[in-house]
Amino acid sequence: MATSEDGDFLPLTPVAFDILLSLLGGEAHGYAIMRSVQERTGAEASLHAGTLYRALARLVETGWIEELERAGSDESDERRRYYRVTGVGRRVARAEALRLENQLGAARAHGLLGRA
Amino acid sequence: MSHRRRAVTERLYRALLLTYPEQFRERHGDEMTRLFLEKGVDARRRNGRAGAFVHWLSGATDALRNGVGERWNESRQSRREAGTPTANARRTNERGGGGMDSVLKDLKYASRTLLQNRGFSVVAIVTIALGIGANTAIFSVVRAVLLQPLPYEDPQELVLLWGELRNRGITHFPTSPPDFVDFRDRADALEDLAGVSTFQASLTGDGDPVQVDVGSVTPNLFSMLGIEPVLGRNFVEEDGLPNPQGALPGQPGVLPGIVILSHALWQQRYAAAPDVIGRSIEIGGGPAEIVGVMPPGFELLMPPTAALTPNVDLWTAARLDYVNSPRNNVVLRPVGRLREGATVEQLQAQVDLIAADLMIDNPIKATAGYRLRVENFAADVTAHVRPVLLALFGAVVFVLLIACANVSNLLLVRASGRDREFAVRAALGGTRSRLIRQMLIESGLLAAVGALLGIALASGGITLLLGFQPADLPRHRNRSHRWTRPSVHGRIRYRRGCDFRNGSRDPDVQVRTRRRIEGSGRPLHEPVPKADQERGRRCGGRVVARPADRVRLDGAELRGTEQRAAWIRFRRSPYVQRRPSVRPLPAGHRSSGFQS
Repeated sequence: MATSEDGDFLPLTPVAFDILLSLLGGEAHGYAIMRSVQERTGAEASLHAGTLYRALARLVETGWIEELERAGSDESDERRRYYRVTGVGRRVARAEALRLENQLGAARAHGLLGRA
Repeated sequence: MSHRRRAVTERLYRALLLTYPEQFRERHGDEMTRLFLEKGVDARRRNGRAGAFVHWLSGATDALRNGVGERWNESRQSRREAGTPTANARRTNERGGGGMDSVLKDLKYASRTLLQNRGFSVVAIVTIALGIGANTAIFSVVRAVLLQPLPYEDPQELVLLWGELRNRGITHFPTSPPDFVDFRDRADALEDLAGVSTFQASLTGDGDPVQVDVGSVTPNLFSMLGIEPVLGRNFVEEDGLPNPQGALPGQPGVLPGIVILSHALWQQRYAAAPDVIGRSIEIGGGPAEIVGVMPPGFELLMPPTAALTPNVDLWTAARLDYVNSPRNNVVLRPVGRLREGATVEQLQAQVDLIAADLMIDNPIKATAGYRLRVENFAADVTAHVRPVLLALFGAVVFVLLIACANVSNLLLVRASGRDREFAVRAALGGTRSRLIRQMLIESGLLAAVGALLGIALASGGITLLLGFQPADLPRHRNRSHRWTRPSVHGRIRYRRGCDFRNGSRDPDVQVRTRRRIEGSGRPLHEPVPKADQERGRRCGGRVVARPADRVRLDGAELRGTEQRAAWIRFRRSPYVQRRPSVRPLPAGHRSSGFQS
């Protein structure tokens, strides 16, 4: 359940929300996060390494995601850090989704997306 | 991606990552690089070389932007985490002054203090602005008129040759065509000699008749000056061939005048039509043909004593009979170009001999005391305004010096009223370098605002100056706002900023700081003790000191003990007037500007 406290962080930056969404499906490393954001938004050059890792560092700092201790599952992933969304992160993402849904509802009500 | 290309890309990207804080780089650098490279491979596979390029560009910008952002974040965070103000100050100072951010803070603080002391700030800024404004305005004119080379080719080689009739008191006498030829052909030091005269005539034959100023020149004048028409052709030797003897304008057999229009006339009368070339017109009733158009702004500069019209509408090639005209028919003002390496003195010696010969042949010249005087073109053109301009310039330089001295005094007086503030700041951990920087930033800010205002004043001043302009001020049209001057002043102002001294720079500052805080133990709201009142009065004395002493104090680079010794000598000198009207500074004054 989203509390009012979670609402204090809203609105999230698009990048932060994207990362949280990508991690809802389970733990992932940077490259996988980027790929999933790309697939979802369809934009090819949307997320670069600089923006991604800075956002990851911020999210870890705020405690919405956490870094996993273990190394990657296979040899080639040795250098990769894996990330996982925390409970707080999940709640914040939900609060953001609700906020967006409200706005979407308003947009619909005004016929912006055609009559539902 | 080839192995080599990959290695180069990787190295470049890692170089970009240097913008990130070290800790961040160590933690994420490898992965970021790897991700960047993998994405690059993707982009190339999908969109070829262009895709890879776009990826590279946007990825690099992204890294740079975030790197700088991350560094900014880090510095902000470290400041927030830092404990007490003292620790904070020490920490900032240890890191070599604390970087851009604390400079910004100093700037903000400086502008707040300056705003608080509005009277002081306004006086200082206006003083600086007036000094700089007056200087910039005058210098702009001096530069345009006196310093910039003439707008002709190799102007230093150009000379003017004036006839003198010494026994008649005439100093700018023209030359007759036969004499002109003698000088041209016999003076070795001359590479070329041209001549000019002006007259007024009616321009008819194509539309409304108008009165125009005509410049009648020898055909070689423009090529000698290195001026080419923007349209059509230059004069050639044939354009100046003389008319058949005895022929009058309008009669058959008279050769047409060959005309080059001034740019202004071409635009006004002919609407800049390119087909004016070859058009037939009439000048003074005689046939003429247009062959060219001069470049915009071209004028033949001449000293006003030459009695030539400065703004010529059209130029014709003078059809002069150099052989048969009488030697008393003086029409030409000769303009010459020295042979390379020849000097004005050499030429003068040569024309003196020629003039002596002419006097033997023409007794009328001998009785008049004929002589030909050679003058450097540029110097002669400005000779009549040079003394005035230089005197004005000298005057405004002293105005600037006095302004500098005044502002220095103001700053000194103000500083002595701020002892407490500095003492408290020092006690809170402000190091000496930090306090000095604060002071420098304050005076720098004053100087910058003053300079800006000064430049604005200068723009107005130039207009004003040209409003007074004598009609014969040559070349002023070339003047414009000169940025060189403000930059010179920028240096002076900066120096002044450094000149400003305050107690915190003295070696015994710490002792005095302690004494000021502990020793006096006087809360800020208590009345000022007798000794301090006395000091305030002395400060007042400084303000009314005579300018001469201010210049000495400000101009001399006195440092440390030497400076103090000079200061004491000055304070005891009889020039420091202690006017009764200068009251001791009120109690509240000493705490003015104090914020901490």
